[in-house]
Amino acid sequence: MQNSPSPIPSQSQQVASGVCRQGSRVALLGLLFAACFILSFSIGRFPISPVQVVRVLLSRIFPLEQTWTKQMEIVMLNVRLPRIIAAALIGAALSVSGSVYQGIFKNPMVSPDILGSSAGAGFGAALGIFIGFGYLGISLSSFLFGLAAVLMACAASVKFKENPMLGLILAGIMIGSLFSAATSFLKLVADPTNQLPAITYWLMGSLASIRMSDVKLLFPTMLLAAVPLYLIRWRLNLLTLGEDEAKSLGINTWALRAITILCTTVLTSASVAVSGLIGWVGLVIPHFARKAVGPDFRYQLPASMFIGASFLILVDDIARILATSEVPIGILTAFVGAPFFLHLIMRGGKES
Amino acid sequence: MNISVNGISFAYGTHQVLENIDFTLTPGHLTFLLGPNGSGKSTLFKCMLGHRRPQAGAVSLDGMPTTGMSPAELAHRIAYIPQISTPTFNYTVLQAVLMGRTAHMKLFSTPSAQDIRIAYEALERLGIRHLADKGSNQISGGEQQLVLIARALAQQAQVIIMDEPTSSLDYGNQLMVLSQMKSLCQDGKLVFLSSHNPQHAMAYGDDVLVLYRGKVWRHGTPQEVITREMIHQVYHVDVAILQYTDDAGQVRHMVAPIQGGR
Repeated sequence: MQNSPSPIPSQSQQVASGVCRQGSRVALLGLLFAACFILSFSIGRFPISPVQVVRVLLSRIFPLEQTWTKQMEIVMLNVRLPRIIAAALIGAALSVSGSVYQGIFKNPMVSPDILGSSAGAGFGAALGIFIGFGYLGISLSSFLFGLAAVLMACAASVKFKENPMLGLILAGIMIGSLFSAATSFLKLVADPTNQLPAITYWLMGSLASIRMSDVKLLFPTMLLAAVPLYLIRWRLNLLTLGEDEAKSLGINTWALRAITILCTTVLTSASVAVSGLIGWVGLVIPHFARKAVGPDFRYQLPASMFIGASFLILVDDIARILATSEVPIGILTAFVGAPFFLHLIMRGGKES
Repeated sequence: MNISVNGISFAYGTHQVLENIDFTLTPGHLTFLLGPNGSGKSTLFKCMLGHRRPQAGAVSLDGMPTTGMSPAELAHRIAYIPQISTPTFNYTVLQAVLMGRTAHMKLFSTPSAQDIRIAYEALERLGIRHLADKGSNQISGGEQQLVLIARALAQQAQVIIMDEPTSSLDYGNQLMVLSQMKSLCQDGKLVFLSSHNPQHAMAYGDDVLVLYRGKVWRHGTPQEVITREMIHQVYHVDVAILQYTDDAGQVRHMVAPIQGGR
């Protein structure tokens, strides 16, 4: 073991360079997100220049001379703001869940609905519409059924002693298809003039009906689920290893997985509850995040969050302006996601 | 730190895998675990690592039973090096080694400067510090095995358990990994590794333990344990044990297959 005369400084330099590289990339992605966030206020049928956007936003904090019309302010703050925040929150939530799921299932082809949370939440919403709940009731029913689906999958998987993760995936797929079948049944028996179109449109996913009151519910719920995930970010790395390997490194794999699955389920179900089914984001964005900063969850989580938020904001901008009537955002994300997934399969699912 | 296995029995359902296993390993020794496929080597490791609870018997470290220990407490004492497998995600070598520090971190902590220093020292000890920033799938199989050993060193456990470390390595890397393990034992570690190659045990082992049909068949020095009779009984093949003198003038033994000797 030959020690160089001064190993410590060179070590810390190496460490610093490594940390800085990934840290600065995360910061860069944060800037990208901020740019998407601000520019999206100018996009839509009512034109507002980016300069005006910045001025209106700053005027909330600093006293600025009003150079904009009252109408601009209403469009920006009452119509566009809740929608942009919701797009950012949902994009971030789905991507973070996807990152974590791909990690703990050791499979880059997994998406956050693998355990049935989306199918459950979709059924919950359809049921809410069928019964005739109000908007809040539909969201709540959707959220609760999303949670219930995953809990059912977890309960069913307890029987698989030898390979718990495989058991969980199989149970999740089964529970998911049960709920999908139940949703189809509801569509069959729903009133075809009002309920059926409402269910169908809701399942396609859209942010058109988002209001500030939704955002006020969504934000704390997501924060509550995201904070624990961020706190255990280092330990999430160990869950990507083999079961015995992870245990022998000193973590309680069972407890860690339970917390992780609970938090990601809350994130996905809350997303589906306000926006309907928006697919592909949770599958595709984690790949971009790992390309940018590598698999280490200390960087992958924030990177996923920023890229996912930016991506969904941009896709929602497109949904707003593409056609005279709004295009459901779930359709647009699929148009981006499916070709990308095909690309992944053709490359054998390997990460570079 | 001694590790003792006291009267362990383990069964999967009605299939008895281990029966009243009893032995003690001491620090500074490299012990080989030999035994044919299905003899219970992996199950024995799982019991020693606390991943399986035996139906009878206990594992103890310096006389303290491991049953009451948390995963972190156990990880402070025993490190496990699995067979290398292609990682799903491309962690850097440094990140992979830092994972060995997890048991020393608080629940919500991330690696500290001290953890990073210890990880670099482990890489340095194995002569692969230059690989620190490489991705795990950019390095060779031998280097991957060294990274796992470095991770175990960073874990700072006295006992190291290794599952067939040489199974997927080329000849040069096999001998390189074994001599690294030998030198760790000379530093006072206790290494217990499973192998399918009696010659490796002969050349590098301080002790050999043969597991056969769920029982400890033999336990002793390589010369005592690795005999024509043992190999014939356990593996059903015929070998000759040859003697030779190495360059330092020391008499050594070698396991040589006899062609068509079955």
